[in-house]
Amino acid sequence: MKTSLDYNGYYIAYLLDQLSEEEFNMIAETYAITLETEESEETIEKIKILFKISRENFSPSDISTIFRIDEEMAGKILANLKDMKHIEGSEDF
Amino acid sequence: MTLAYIPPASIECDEASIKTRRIVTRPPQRNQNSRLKRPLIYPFKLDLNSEAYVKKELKPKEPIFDSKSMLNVGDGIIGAIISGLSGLPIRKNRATVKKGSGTHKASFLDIEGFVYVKLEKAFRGIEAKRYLTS
Repeated sequence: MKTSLDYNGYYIAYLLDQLSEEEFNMIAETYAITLETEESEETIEKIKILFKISRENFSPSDISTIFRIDEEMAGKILANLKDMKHIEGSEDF
Repeated sequence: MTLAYIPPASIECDEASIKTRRIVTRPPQRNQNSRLKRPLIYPFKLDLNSEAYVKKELKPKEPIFDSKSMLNVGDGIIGAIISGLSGLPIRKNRATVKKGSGTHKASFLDIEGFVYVKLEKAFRGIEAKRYLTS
């Protein structure tokens, strides 16, 4: 979350022309993340906890960003959790 | 020219025209797709009812992320939530804000570099109709 806020700060500076394109590209490189493509039990447990404590309807792209996992995999995990009644039914996925 | 209102649907192009009421940008990701020649990709989400159309086709005209993506000029996706990624960061200051529907204004902008966007959630009315008829 903090990473996202920090990055968005620089992004806003770029949009306001306070940073040049080269400077922004260098900063973007430091904030770049690599997505996990392998499913892990730990991530699934964390997703279950997130849905338990929050009443938000997270979409696969939200889950992908929060847990840094592949979006397609996030969609599959959410569909499985919904089938197994671990999370409330939603039209989002 | 094909317009899609129900997921799964996506478009891939060199330049896309976007109409949206909210853009949520996210930190860049390292590109893991060898068919796209860019080191970083910039994910984003278009919220509160959005539309995306192909403005400039890919060269060569072959899908990179999804083999079922629409690629022709004028093809588009329309829905409540659209998510995607671009090869270059979005320049929001190129957006123009004008009347987008009978009740709301919207941002209109073009996204350059490679663009891949997919429909994540259909309009509520379409979603409800699908639920009732299934």
